[in-house]
Parts: sequence; structure tokens; C-alpha cells
Amino acid sequence: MKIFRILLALSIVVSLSLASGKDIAVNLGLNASSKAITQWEKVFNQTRKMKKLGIDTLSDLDKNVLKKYLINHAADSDHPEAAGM
Amino acid sequence: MKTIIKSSLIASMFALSLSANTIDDLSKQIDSLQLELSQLKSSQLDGDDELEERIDEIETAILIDKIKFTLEFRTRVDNFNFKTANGIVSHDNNIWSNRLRLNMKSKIDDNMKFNGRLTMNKNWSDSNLNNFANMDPMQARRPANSGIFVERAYVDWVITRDSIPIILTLGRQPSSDGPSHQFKDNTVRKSTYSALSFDGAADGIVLTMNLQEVSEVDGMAVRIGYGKGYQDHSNKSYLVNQNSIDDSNVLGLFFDTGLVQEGSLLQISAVSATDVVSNVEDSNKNIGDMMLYTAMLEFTNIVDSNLDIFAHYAVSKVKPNGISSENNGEKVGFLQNDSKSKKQLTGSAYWFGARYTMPIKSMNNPRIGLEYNHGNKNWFSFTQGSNDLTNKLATRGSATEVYYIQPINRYAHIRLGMQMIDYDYTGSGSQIGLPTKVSDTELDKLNNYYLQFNLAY
Repeated sequence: MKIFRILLALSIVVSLSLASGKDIAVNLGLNASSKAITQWEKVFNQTRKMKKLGIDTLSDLDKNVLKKYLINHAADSDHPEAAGM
Repeated sequence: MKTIIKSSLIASMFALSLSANTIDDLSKQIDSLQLELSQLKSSQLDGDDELEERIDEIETAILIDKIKFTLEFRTRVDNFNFKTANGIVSHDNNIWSNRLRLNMKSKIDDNMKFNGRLTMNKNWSDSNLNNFANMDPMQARRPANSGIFVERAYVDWVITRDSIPIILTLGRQPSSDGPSHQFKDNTVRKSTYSALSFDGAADGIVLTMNLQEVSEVDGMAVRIGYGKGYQDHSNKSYLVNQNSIDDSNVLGLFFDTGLVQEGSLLQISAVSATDVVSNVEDSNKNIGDMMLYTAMLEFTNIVDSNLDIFAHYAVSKVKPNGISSENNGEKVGFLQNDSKSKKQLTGSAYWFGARYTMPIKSMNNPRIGLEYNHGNKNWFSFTQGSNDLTNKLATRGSATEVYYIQPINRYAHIRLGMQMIDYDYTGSGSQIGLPTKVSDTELDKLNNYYLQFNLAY
């Protein structure tokens, strides 16, 4: 089907996309599910806490990407569900 | 000279007495400091003990809290409008319903976890069961009374954690509201299978081989699933059921992979169902076998564009065995009427759609979506326990849905939507009877305008 070909082509484009929040988290040794959403929000509201975790040195763009990733994967976030997942 | 010696002796004695006084003072000061230090150490130890006790209390509370519950609640109003092929119009408007889901999670140990879902789904002021609400795949999926159905209850058991972890999933499976319903439902993936081919509650066993580590691709896995579409038994299980029919066995092979971007999924599957039953009361028969092949692709927030897209395609190959059941005085077989034919009947369907998140922060980033699906004459799948009442993905014809999602906060949203279904052939979603061109008093068009409030916390 034509639509599948288009979507596959898009997937290749996507594979060349920007560094993800996950990559930044891995580099900083942060585990998203180690905190709840509110706790991650508190981290990003306090310079001291960001400094402690090495987040303060990131650019604003990377901070936003990281924050989105950590909140979306926090311990109490909406998790995907499937057999064996 | 004597005077000098005397003076020196007096001075030395004075110095010695002064020095003795200073040492005494210093000694006293050291004693005092030592006392203070030991008091400080003691209070520090007391503080540590207190802190440890408090942490113990929290740890105990967590350890005895065996199951973590999360809540889903929905209130919805539907407005159905029907039109027959000969132009007769009718309505069933202002139908209100509530749905409560209690989701359960429990980590038994590092290699075993339990998941479950208890659901109440009912129309307002109505405790009558919707047609088929008591049937196994539709339990909790159709309005019933205020009773609770177990929609999901399964254990994920990691058998091995080698380079290819193998996980066994036993029980009532995560088999409803699958990809790509999550876009419309404003959530994340909630089931194993493409919703074009499978939607509903199902008991079974699934073996997952997790290929993420060896392939270094997120979400790559191969699954083999086994379940029963129908299980015959005697009401008294220790007796042989003389009038039994064969069980309907379902076996499936699924390949999943992510496509670099998070929230993307490619799934290819082949499912075999043998000895499918007619499900006709007092005349239940095995009416044949079928195969169902599905391919699907979806992306969430593709290239940070706020756009989510998906496309599914499926082929059903039905092999009637020439046996018929009697339904309302008519003989019906697998996608045929009173026929001894065993000719294979091929159906197909596709479903695609998109959702866009509007970057309007002041409005909590509302979303709009559009979906379209089409099925041909012989299209048949396993979506009887579908995401919505109309089972639109089983349509032998076409269905369009548009919706608007208004988030209220992180956990609640309102959805306003419209479904327009145009049937080309009869019997959508049913395995019995010959699909024929819609005519006369048969349902030709079905529209549903709905509004719902949804909370997931």
C-alpha cells in the first residue's frame, strides 16, 4: 500500500532526528521512573537540585526535552501496556 | 650574688606555679571538649536511629501495600442516528453512560509482576445488560449493570534474562483498546494487538521474546500467543458433555518493532483460528477456520511536529466447513447461508488516521483527530469487544470519525466526536450469514455524535 511506503520513508527521516530526552537522561545517569511527576517538577524548579543532578549545564532546549521525557516516564506516569512489556 | 640567686629561684618558682595552673586549665578544657564531643556523637546516633525508624516505617508501608491502584472514570453521552437503505430515519439520542476502571499493578519480585483491571460499565438508570454484554470478549466492554467485571488479570513472568529475555504472560490479557486507539483515547499504547484485527477481553498465554538488547532497537519483540475463542464444557465439569462441539483455538505470531522515534510501532502478525463457532443459542456449531494477517505502523509526534499518524491493513481468509446453524429459522454458516460450500472467502480492511496537538498553551494544548476505515464484503475480525459501541472497525463499508480533545488538566479531558458509518454489506462484525448488499429495511447509515468526560489518574 502506498501509505505504508510513505510512512516507512518518514520513519527513515525520523531516524535521523535530534537527540532525545532519553539520550540526555542516560548521559546524566537519570532514571525517569525513580521519581514521581511532581518530584521531577520540583527538580526543575530548583537550581540547587538541577546542579546536583548535572542538569544546570544543559541548554534551555535540552532542559525542556529532558523535562518532558522524565515527566512522561515518571513512576506515576501513563505507562504503555502490552504482554511482556 | 646571693641576692641574684635568691631572686632567680623566686622567679623560677613563680613561673612553675603559673605553668602548672595553665596545664590544669588546658586539661579541664580538653575534658570539657571531650564531654561535648561524646554528647554530640550520642545525639547524632539518636538522630540516625530516629531517621532509620522513620525510613523503616515508610518501607514497611510500601512493602505491605501489595497492589498499586490507578483510576479511570468516564461519563459519556451518545446520540445515534440511523438510516435504512429505503430511507427510513430513526434516532436513539441522549444515551448517557458511566464507566469506572480500577487498574491494578503489583511487583511480586524482579521477575514477576501482576496487572489487572476491574471495570464497571453501565448506562444511567439502567441495569439491563446490553446485547452480548455477558459474552466473554465483551465483558466490561459493553454497558451492563453496576457490577464489576474482570477485564484484565495477568501475570508477566520473566523466565530468563539472557541476551534475549523470555517472558510468559498468563491470564486475561491486555488485548483491548490496542494500537492505534490510544490517540483518540488520549493515552499511550494499552494493548498488545492492532485494534483493526483484535479488540476485546481474552484469556490466553503469550510468550514474548524481547529482542531489544540484541537488536539495540526499542520495542523489538516476537510474540507467540495462544487462546481460545470458545471453550466447550459441561455445566458439571466432572461429566462428559455428550453434545459438545470442538473448542475454537486461536494461535498467533506477532512481530513488533519501534522505529527509532519513541512512540513509534511497526507490527506484523498472522493469527489462525480453528473451529470457529457460530455462537447461535441452541444451535451452536463449529462452522470453519480462518486466518487473519495484519500489518500496522504508527508514529507519535513525528519529527517533533505535534502530529501523530497511523495506518493499518488486514486480510481475513475464512474457510467454511459447510456446516450451518439455525438462527431465527434460517440456516447460517461461516459468511454464508445454507451452503455446503467450503470455498475460501477473502476479506480485507484498512484504517488510517492522524491527530494534531495544537501548540496553544493557554488552552492546555487541545487536540484534533481524524480517522477513516474501510472493510470489504467478506471482512471479518476479532473486534467484538470493541473500543466503542458501534464496532466501527468491523464495518463492511466505510467509517469516518472526527474528534476534538480538550485537556482540563494533566489527568482529565473532554472529547467531542462524530462517527459516520456507511454500510455497503450486511452483517458487519458477525461471522454468520452471507454478507449481501444493503437494501430495503437494512441499516445503511449510522451516525453517532458523542461527548465524554474522561479522567485517568
